[in-house]
Amino acid sequence: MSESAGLAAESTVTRTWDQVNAGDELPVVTFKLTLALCVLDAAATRDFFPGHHDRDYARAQNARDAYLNTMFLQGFVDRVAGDWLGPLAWLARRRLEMAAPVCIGDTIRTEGKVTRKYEEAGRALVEIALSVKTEHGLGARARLTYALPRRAGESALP
Amino acid sequence: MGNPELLETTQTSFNLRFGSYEEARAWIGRKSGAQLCEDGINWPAIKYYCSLVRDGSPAYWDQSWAHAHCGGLLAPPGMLFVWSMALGWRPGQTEPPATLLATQVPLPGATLINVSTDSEFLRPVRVGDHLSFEEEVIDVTPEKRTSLGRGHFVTTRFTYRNQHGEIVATHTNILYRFGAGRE
Repeated sequence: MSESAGLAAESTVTRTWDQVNAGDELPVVTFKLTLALCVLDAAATRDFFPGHHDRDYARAQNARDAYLNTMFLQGFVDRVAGDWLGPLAWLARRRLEMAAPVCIGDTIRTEGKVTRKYEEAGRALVEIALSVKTEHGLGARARLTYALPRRAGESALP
Repeated sequence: MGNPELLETTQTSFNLRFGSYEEARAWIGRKSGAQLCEDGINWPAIKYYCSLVRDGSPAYWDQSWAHAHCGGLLAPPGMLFVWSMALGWRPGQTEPPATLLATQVPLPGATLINVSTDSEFLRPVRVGDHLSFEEEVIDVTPEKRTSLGRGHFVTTRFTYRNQHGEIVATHTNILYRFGAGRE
């Protein structure tokens, strides 16, 4: 998996609520889906549903090829947002819709943006809309609600 | 084009239950009862998953940082459903496990694909915790046609608890149970 330059994947710094605003754009992450990654996906998520590793089965389902599973997409969108927000942001809610199978050979490209910044029940929240696109169109769409710390060095964990 | 013979392998790997839409409707409201996840929350599984999605958060990788800031190494939220995946075989077992209600709702479709999830995360899940989950059938739609074929959307809701009985997350899942053959 390659990703755009400047992504500080191992950062320990978490953005505070003040530092995030509606309209902020997340760095683009892109990679090409290989059979090897689908195999790793099945193993690391214990998901041996045949559509994720059996290319003939996937095609019999009217998919173009074997495709990523839900647990990959969940962890992937969380990672793209988490890399940008930092490790002490708390994912409060994730809504994920899968529009079309993301298949072997596809090139994945993310588009992410902060869509809302608000307070609720004493928590400082932001909402991020993240699309997972391929050359065939939209693969999946996520809406992520994060609680953020109000001060640097604090944690938003419940 | 769909190949119905090939799709029968779903039965051996996921043990789908077959029946009519009317039978399926009778399953709405049915609950699985509490099921203990196969394994406790463990670091090797977390690292394996994080290497898949390339998540480098120190909350998942750096023991001393995680202890200082998170009360211990955390499990990524994306792993919630991973903990409830059953092993395909264990001693004394001849059939694949039928642990998910969503695959047991009787319907005609020979195969399935997952459509959407809505998850709320209420408490941190840390290495050493052991989760259990309960699944409830929320809805089964009438037959609908999509680009993949014809079938029914099945909604189930999962409630995950830790070993103290505290709810750590809820998870609503919609899958499409369909036949891929096209007339």
